[in-house]
Amino acid sequence: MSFQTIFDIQQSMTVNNRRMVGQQVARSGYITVAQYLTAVPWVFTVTPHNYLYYPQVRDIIQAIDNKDRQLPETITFNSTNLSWFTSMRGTATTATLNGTPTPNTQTLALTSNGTFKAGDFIMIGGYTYKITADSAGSSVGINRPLIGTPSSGATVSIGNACTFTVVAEACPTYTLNPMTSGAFVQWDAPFVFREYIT
Amino acid sequence: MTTINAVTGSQINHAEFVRLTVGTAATVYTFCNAAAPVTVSGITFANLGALLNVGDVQRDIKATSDDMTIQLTGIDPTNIGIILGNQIKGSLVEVWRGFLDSNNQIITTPTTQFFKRYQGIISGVSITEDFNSQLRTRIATCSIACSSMRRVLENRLSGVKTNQNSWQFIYSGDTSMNRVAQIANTFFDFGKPPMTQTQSSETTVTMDNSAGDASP
Repeated sequence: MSFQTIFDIQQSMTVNNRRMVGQQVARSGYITVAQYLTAVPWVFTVTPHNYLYYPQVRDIIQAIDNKDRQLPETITFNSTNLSWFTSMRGTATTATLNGTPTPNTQTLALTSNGTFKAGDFIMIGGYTYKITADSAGSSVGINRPLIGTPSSGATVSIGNACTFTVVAEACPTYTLNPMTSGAFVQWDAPFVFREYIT
Repeated sequence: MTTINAVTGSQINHAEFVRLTVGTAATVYTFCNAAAPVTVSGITFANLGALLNVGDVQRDIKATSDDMTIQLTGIDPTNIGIILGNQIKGSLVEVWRGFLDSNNQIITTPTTQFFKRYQGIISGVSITEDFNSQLRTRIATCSIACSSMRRVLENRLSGVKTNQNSWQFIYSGDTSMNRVAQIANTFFDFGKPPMTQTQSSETTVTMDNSAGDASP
């Protein structure tokens, strides 16, 4: 528990899963857009809790120091406080890939036991995607190109089983504000976590 | 003329593809910016996350000599190995742009929308380091400078130098350039009596002492 703790005790979290897009507006007012194909990594900017009592959280800080901006950690949102982020709105509980997907596709054929709603999370090969539109369960659209080359029959994790493997792109330093027999930990900037795609 | 149907609409989805054919062994490295490998025209472009930047490619009506730079991440030791472990100078560089449909597949109708933007050879490589002690970051970047074939032809040296060594390297025994070194620094007053004593050992003895009078 290091980065996971920062997620769990967050004051706020900004989610960035925007695609790489170019836009230009002509003098006539027309807009032209072009998408540059990328993996569209998840980026979470987390503002941590600023009143951690240092004597009680030294182990957490040490775990963060150990990972620093170098080592990845797999984050889940299945805790009581955060499960609303990835919990399923559809009825599906299990799914597998039905056929080997085309590389970079954003449409997947599934074998599942229920439905999916727009905004539901699924994970394939360790990378998490959002469902783009309500689906009966046999074919779903995903929010970004399929990463890697998963095979037919690969397990599709659903809802709170989805995880995010991230690296701290920004790992702030902290200031200790003394108080009785200890100090409060004040983080000097938000944490920025970027999905670790390998 | 190349017709790019993919750019006729207002929505464009594209990707860049790079192929390096390196060294005398012609080892091929391919890169693209997609999330998964892409195979086009029998070439599979890896999605290794190595490609940082493809420089500007100049397009003119007539063929021009255009140089370009490709940047690869220097954090990955594989790329360092490509640059330092191969005879990379002179290797072939090819860059394509591919246009994709809404499902991120290369458009194939009416023709494959995959167009070569640049072809040249590697003229130089460098590894730059951005070391920031305040932020405690160190970022390395591998830059590959490419020259177009036209530039290569422009810079090609041909002919032979007219000195004794170069001449006899080609025409051994020909002594016609043997006195080049001796006369190279000799001053000649061609067509006019010399104003001062020349350095030539066989100079004329006629001196013109009527300063400013140029009449014969």
